[in-house]
Amino acid sequence: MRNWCTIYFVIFFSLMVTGQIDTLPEVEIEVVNINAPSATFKTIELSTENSNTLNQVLERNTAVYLKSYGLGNLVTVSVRGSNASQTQLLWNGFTINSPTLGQNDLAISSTALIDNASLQLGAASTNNSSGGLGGAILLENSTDFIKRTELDILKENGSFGIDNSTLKLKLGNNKWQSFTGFSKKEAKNNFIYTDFLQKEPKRVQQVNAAFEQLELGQNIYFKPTENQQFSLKLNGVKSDRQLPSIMGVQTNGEQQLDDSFKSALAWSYNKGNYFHQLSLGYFYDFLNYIDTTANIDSKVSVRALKGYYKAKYYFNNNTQLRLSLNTDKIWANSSNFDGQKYQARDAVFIEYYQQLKNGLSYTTSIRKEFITDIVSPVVPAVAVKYDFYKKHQLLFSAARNFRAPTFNDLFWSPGGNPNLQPENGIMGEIGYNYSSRAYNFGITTYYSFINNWIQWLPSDKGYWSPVNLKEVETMGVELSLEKKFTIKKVQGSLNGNYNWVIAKNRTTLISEDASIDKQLIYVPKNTASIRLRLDYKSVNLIYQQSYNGSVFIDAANEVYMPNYMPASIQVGWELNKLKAKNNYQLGVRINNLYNEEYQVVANRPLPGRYFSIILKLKFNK
Amino acid sequence: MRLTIYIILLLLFFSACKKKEVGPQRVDGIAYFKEAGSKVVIGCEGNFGTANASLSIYNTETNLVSNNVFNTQNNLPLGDVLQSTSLFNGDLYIVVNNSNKVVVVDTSNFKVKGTITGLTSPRYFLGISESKGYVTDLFANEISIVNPSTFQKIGAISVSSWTEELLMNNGNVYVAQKGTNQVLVIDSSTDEITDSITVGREPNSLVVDAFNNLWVLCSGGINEAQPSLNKINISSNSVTSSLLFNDISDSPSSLRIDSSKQELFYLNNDVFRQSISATSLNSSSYISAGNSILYGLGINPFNNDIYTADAIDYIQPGKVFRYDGAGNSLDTLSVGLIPQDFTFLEN
Repeated sequence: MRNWCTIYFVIFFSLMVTGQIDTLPEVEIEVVNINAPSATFKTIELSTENSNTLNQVLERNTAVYLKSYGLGNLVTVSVRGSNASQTQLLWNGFTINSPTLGQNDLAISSTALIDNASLQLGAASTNNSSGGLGGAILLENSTDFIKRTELDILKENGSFGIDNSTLKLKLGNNKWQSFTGFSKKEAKNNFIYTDFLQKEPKRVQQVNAAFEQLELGQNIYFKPTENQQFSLKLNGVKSDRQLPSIMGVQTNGEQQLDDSFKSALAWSYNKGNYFHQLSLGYFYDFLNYIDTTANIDSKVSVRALKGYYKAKYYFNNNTQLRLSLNTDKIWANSSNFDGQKYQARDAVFIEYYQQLKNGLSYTTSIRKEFITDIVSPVVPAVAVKYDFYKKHQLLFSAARNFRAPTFNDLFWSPGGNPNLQPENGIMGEIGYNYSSRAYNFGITTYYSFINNWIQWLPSDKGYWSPVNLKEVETMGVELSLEKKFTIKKVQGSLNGNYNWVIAKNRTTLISEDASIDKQLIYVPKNTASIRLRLDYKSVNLIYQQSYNGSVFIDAANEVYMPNYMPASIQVGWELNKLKAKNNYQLGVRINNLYNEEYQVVANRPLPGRYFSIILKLKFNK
Repeated sequence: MRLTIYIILLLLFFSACKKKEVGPQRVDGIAYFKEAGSKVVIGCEGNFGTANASLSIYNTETNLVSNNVFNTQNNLPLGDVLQSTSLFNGDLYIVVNNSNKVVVVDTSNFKVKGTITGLTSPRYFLGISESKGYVTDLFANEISIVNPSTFQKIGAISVSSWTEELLMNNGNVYVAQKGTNQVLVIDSSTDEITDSITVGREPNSLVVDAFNNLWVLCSGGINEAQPSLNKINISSNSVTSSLLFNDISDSPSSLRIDSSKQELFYLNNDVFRQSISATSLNSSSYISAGNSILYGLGINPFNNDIYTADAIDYIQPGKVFRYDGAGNSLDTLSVGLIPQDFTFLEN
C-alpha cells in the first residue's frame, strides 16, 4: 500500500511543512517533472490509492462536482463552475481530451496504472495547454532507478458483480526499469432501486448497465548515463459498456465501445544549467455507439501525432527560464463528419520564474497557440507567492485563457459552425495557506469571466448548431484543511474540503432570456468532502463523505435536484508481520454507508448501500 | 482539532436525518389547475433522457397559464419526451415518445384514465373507433393498432420507415411516412395499406381542405431535396400540384389549416399563410419569428387565433406567442420546457 504515489504525497507535504519546496535541488533528472507548474501556482496532489478510475480519485481527494449518470456510466467533472470540456486532461504531458467531444468520460479514464496525479486549478492550467478554463488534471508515470523486483496484485469483488483485478510487475536496476501493468474491471450493475416515476414507487432492478474494461500498460525507462533518460510508455484500454435508460423507460439495449491507445517516447537530458526533454506520442481513440432499435451504429475514430520539446534553463538556484514547443496533428473520422477532418495545433510557451530573498517568488509566462483555421488569443499568466513567518503563505495568480471549439462544434454535419470563436476567459485568484507539522489550512478565492461561451441551439433548418452564446461570470471560495494527529497508539489524518461556487449567465444572444443572472445548470453552490484515516497497528480505517448541494437542472432555476451526501467506510488489515518483505492486505469497503436514496442526474438511479472486499498482495524480491 | 471533530459530527448529523427528496423537484412546489373556461393544451416535450415532459394549460377566458398540470393532477411525472397530443372521444391522448407509451387523460381534470404501453418509439395517435386507434412510430417500422377502451396494443401494420402525422378521411387513413417520400393510404376497416402516394422528400404534416383535397408538407430532409407543398386529390389519390420551395436548406414544418379550411399555415422559420387556391408559394411571411426559432404552430379552430411555440435554449421554460387571425400579437405565455404541440379543447 505504500506505493510510489503515497510516498510522493508524503514528500510533497513534508516539503510544504518545512517550506523548502522552492529551493533548487541539485538538478537531478528524476526529480524534474517538466510538466508540473512552478510552485507559485496552486496545485492539488491526488492520491490514486484505492481508486480505479479518475472519478473515484477526484471524489476521494477533492470536493469538485462530479456529474454521474450511474454506476459505471458517463461521469464528467465540473471544476470551479466550468463544464466538462473546460477541464483538460493530460497524460504524461499530452492533452487527451476527446478532440471530437472536448471532454472526458472519467468513468473510463483508468488510473489503475498511473503513478501520480494532480489537479491544477485556474491559471495554473495554462502551463501545459490552453482550454482549462476550469483547470487541468495531470496524470503521470515516472520512476526512480533502484534495484527492484516487485509484484503487486489487487483483487476486488463486490456487490452487483463488481470484479476488479490489477496486476503490476516492476523490475529494474540502476539503468533499466520496466513496469508492466494489467487491469480488468467488470460489473453487472444490476442493483435494485426505487422507481419514483411510477404512481406507486416500486423497487425495480437496473438493466442493461453492465461494464467491462481491460487495460494493458508497459513502461520502459533507460538511464544510459547519469544525466540522461529514455522512456517509452504504452497504454491500451478497451471498454465495453451497456448504457441504461432512465427510470421508467424500457431499454433499447444501447451499448458503447471505447478503445484507446496512448504512447509516448521521451528523451530527457541535462547538462550544466540546462534540462531538455523531447517527447513524441501517438494516440488513437475509437468510440462506437450502438442502438439497434434506433438503427444507430455511430463510429468515431481519432488519430493524433503529438510532440513536444521542453527545456529549462537555470540562471542560478533562484531563477529559471522554461520553454516549451508543442505540436499536435489530429485526424478525426466520424459518421457525422463529411469525410476525415484534420487539425494542427502548435504552441509556444515561455515562462520566467524567480525566487527573491525575502520570501517572494513569482512566475510570468506567455503561451501562444496556432490552430488550423482558428484565431486564438495570446495566453499570459502571472503568479506570485509570498512566504512569511515560515508557516504562512500568500498566493496570487491571474491568467487569460481560451478554449478552442471542438471537432464536433466545427464539423458536425449538419450544424457544425466553422465560424465559431474560441471561448475566452480571464481568471484570477488569491489564496492563503498555513502549514505546520500537523496542520495545513488553505483558503482560496477566485473569479473568472468567460465570454463566447459555446452552446448548441436549434436552428430554423431543423437541426442544431453551436453558437458563441453567452458570457458567464464565476466566483468562488475553496477551503481545505488537513490535520495529522496521534491519539495514544492511533495515528490519524483528517482532510476536509469545502467549495462555494457562484456561476451565472450574464448576457446572451437570446432575447428575454430567463437564464440571465441565474446559476448554471448542474453547478452546485456548495460542495464539501471529508476524509478521515486512522491507523492502529496493522489495521487502518478510512471514512469518507461528500456533500453535494442541490443543483438546478433548468436554466431559469425552477427545477432542481436535491442535495446528497454519500459516505463510505473502508477497513484494511495487514495480514503479514510488520516490516515483512512481502505485504498482504485485506480490506472491506462499504459504499453509500447510510443507504442514501439519491440521484445526481435527473432520473438516473444510483445504488443504495453496497459492499466490496479487497485483497492486496505485494511481493518483493 | 475541535473544529474538525465538529465538522464530522455535523456531517454525521446530516446523514442521520433522512430528508428525502429524490429526483427532480420544482422550486414553486405545487402548481394549480382549477378555473373553468375553454382551454388550450400545450404539450411540452421536455429534455431527452430526463423524463420532464409536461402539459401547460392555457385558459382563453381567464388568460391564465397552468404549468406542469399532468404532474400536479396525478402526482406523477408524465414521462420522457412528449411528442404529440390529440383528442378522441373527449379524452386527450398524450404520446410520450421515449417512454414508449401513450397516456390517456380525462380532459376535465387531466387525470390518467389509462396508459397504452409496449410501443417502440411512438409519434402520433389517431382514434378511429371505440375499439381501434393507430399510433405511428419512429423506429418500429410499423404502425401500432391499439384499443382505446382497453389501452392494449392489439396489432400492427408493417411499413418501411418512420411514420409521422396521420389523419382520417372517409374511412381512409393517410399517413406521412417521413422516412421516405410517400403518404400511405390505409383502409381503417381492414388495416390494409391500399395505396401509397409519392410526394416530396420527408413528408411531415398533412391537412384536408374544404374541397376534400389532402395537403402534404415535405421538409426535403436536410439539404437532400427541395421542400414542397403537395396537393392531393383524395378520390384519385393523385398529386394535382406540387409547389417547390426555392431554397434547399429550408425546412418547412407544421402544416395547419384554419376553421374555414381555406387557409393553410406552416412554419418555415417565420409563420406563412397560403390560400388553398394559390398557385404559387407565398414569398412573404405572415408573422415574423423575430429572434425566435419557432418549434410549434397551432390554429385555434374556434376563433382562428394563431399560436407559436419558442423553446428558447431548450433548457429553460419556453414561450408561446399568441396572435389573432389577422396576425396581430395578443400576448406571450410562459409555459413548460420545450413547448411544441397544441390541442384546442372546446369549452
